[in-house]
Amino acid sequence: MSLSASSGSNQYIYPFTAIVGQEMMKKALILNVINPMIGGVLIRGEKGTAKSTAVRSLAELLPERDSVEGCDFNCDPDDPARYCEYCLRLAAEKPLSRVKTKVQVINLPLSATEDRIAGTLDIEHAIKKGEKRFEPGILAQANRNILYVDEVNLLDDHLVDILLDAAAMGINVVEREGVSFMHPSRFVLVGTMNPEEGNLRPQLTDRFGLVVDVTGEDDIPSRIEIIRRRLAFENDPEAFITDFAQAQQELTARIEQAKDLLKEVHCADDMLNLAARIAIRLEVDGHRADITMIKTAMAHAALEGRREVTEDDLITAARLCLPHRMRRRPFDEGLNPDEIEKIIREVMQKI
Amino acid sequence: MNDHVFPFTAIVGQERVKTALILSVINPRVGGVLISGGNGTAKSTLVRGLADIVDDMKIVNLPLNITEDRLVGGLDFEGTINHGRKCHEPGLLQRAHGNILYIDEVNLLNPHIADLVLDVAASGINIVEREGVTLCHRSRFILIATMNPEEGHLRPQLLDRFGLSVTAYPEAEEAKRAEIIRRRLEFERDPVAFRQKWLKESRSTAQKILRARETLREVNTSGEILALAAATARGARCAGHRAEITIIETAKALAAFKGRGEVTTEEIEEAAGYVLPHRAREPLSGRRKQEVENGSDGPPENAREGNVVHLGYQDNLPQKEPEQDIPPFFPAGTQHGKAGQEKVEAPALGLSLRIEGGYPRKARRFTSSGRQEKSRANVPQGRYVSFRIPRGKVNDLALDATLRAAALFQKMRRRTDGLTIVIEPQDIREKVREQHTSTFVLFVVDASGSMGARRRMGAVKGTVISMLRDMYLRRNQVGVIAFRRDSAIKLLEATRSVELAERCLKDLPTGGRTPLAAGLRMAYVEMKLARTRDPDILPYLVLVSDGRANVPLFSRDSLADALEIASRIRAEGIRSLVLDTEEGAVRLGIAKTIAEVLDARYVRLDEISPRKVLVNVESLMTSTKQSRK
Repeated sequence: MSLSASSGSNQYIYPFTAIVGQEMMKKALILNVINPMIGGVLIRGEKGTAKSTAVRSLAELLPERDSVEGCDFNCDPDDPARYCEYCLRLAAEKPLSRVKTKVQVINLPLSATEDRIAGTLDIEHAIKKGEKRFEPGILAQANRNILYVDEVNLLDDHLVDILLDAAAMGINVVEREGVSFMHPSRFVLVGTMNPEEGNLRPQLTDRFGLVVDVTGEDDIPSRIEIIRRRLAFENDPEAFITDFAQAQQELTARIEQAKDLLKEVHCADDMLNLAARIAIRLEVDGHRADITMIKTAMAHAALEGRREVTEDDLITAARLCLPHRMRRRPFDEGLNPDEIEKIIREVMQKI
Repeated sequence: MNDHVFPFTAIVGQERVKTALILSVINPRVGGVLISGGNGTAKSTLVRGLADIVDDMKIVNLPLNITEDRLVGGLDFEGTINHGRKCHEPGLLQRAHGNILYIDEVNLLNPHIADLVLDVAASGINIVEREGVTLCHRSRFILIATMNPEEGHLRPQLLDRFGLSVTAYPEAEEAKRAEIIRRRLEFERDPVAFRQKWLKESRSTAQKILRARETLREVNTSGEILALAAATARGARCAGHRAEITIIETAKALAAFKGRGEVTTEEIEEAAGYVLPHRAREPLSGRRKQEVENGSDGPPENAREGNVVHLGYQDNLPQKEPEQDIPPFFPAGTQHGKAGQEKVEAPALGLSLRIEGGYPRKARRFTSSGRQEKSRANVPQGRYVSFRIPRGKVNDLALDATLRAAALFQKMRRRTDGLTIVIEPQDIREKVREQHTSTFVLFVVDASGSMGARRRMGAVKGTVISMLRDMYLRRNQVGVIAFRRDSAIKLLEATRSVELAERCLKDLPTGGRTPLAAGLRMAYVEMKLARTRDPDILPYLVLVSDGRANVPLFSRDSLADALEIASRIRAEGIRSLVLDTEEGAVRLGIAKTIAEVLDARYVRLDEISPRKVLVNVESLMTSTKQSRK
């Protein structure tokens, strides 16, 4: 189920390029489309800061890719190591037929039950045929797609566990209700949350590659522009979408180019060393920070049309990767991206 | 899906974790490995990488979503229907036999499932007696698990099951960190080529392991060495004899891996480093108590690497065979109201206890040994762990169990409507789900200057930490709010991790004025919020302060503001305890006034031992449960 289908009466999607401001959020989302291995985005902010709108409208910009035709798990025909059980069996007999599909945004509602997420026994099939069959769940749909959790901080603990389990390996192992099944489940995790309603478990926070904090636009002209566009969209969505069609196409093309270019992007050794030094200086948890920082920097270089990672790429990446990965002390607000940038610039100067 | 496993030998650093894993596969008698560590320290990558260097064992993954039937095995409805006779379907424990059983995030595993795994790990035999299937098979496996202590600790009973424990730390060296990024990028770009590159090294490690296994039997252990192992274990005050046996088995594996024919002191010392950290125990009295009283807020001296056992009040824990502490039968309550009904399950015995209101003493003992209090939810929520024959209306059908129940009789039933399975009412089974009845204990700690005397704040921290630990043993959620200078701050969100809570408290600076009202207001908001999220939550407030408020919130009178909020907290029906920290000859007794407004239990810090505070918190909870009836 893609979001566009689930949004019911409101069938028009507000164009991504029509969102005023919120540049970091937009950038974080785009970087994840360019390289899904970055590991998703957590968008933190108060209500009404276009968080959900941005994620929904992202669907429009998503690229196409090859999938195995008819596969419930969107298996990649060129990656036999990650075939699901069905594709493995089929591939042994004949070459798999492929089909072009768009990357989708899969919604994980807070009310979802464990069996709907992990997948379970196919009830109808069991009763009609007396056979056990696995009924794929949300984690199956999410494979090679974007998994979107609105208000992720309110997600039940045991559901979070299932997500973490799958995210850790990129495989969903189901051992429940009479079925035993395993399928690939590699997704880009996108979550939104309002920090006023409670925090996220540290382990889940760490699973998000990037974090952006969004606030409402402050200057009057921007605020007016937001209202103006929203009204125009609601008045005549079709005309509004047409107005932005060209911008949308341009952005899609830019993302496509960046995806191609990413394969050629090179990251010099001193950039790797610098990333390591930054991580040490800022006392981040674990190694995910450094690795994500470099991946993000490379995707950023590709987005900018460059083949070489620069310090600026690294700084942009650090601003997105690090704020949620530093240890916090009491009465210490943590560092915001600007403070992080300042420290990084100091680290750079010392070389 | 092996092609996407990051090669074990390509992992930078983590030598201790690697060694522990290798030892456990050389000598299964070592008894498994527990790897703890923070996020992103390659814990899971290391375990999965084992597949590369161990050829004759599979890694059987136990997912957190597992249900009981898939773990122990049961009736196979498909086979039963098709063949008209009972067919058994092997569970994960059967698949794990002779292999490695891997549990990621073991501290999050459902306690019921964990008990089942524990049972089999101890006996090596899985006995299934359910759904008309009787079955018994051997199930010996190497148990390997990972956990992040920030997400909550492991129950002591489960902890004891692991022969070795190691902690994975992130690399601190720049060059190594850079190398980690480099290898990761290279791997992701072309996993197949990367694995090819490391193949030779993987093979050579695999060979070394095979050779070590062959020579293991011939490794000599002299009498002196045995004595040394025993003395080492005794020195650490380990319970039982498992520690020294494990030290010796580990040392033998180490010697074999090094190609030595004789265990030396060196191996015993090294082995002890893997075996003892999670076993070392300390009697309750002595140091811990002293530490609290002396106001030292540093970690206990033996809280060294990997020591995740919580000291203090160990005497409360059943050391061995915890089940024996539990009465075999508890009379079920005769009537039950809606909200006051608490249900405690004793999964190891397959018992269900229904208790009205407060917990009888014995059952409390049981819950305090680390079991979560559980309640049965009306709405189907929580983890599906088991099934039962329904009483009354079914609103949460356990289809798999129903099908298995029906399968046995299909031969005799007429098939209509083209359906293969005919289900009759007596087949119906419903799901048993488990859910945390969250008990949420919120500590509101005064960190102002009046508390600032170093010794006193130390005592406060010590007391709060021991309370936190007790809360952990009961798997309650805890949160901490501190107030000083002009504002209150949420130190810790509701969490089940004592480690986080302790870290927060230890780093807590003190000084400045006393915005008591702000602290209470934040607590009030937090508790209301917690209730919105989970209407069944049982919130408790523990206020630690001398009550000398001097920062007003909305009027000019700082104490009046505090009292105003206190009365609102009371109006919400939130139970509380005030720990008065005031000392000296001249006392204002303000905390006592606040306690009266809160209708709280009142305890003075200088009059009682930390132990007594605990007893108070405990009785507070009991009385609240009764009052909720």
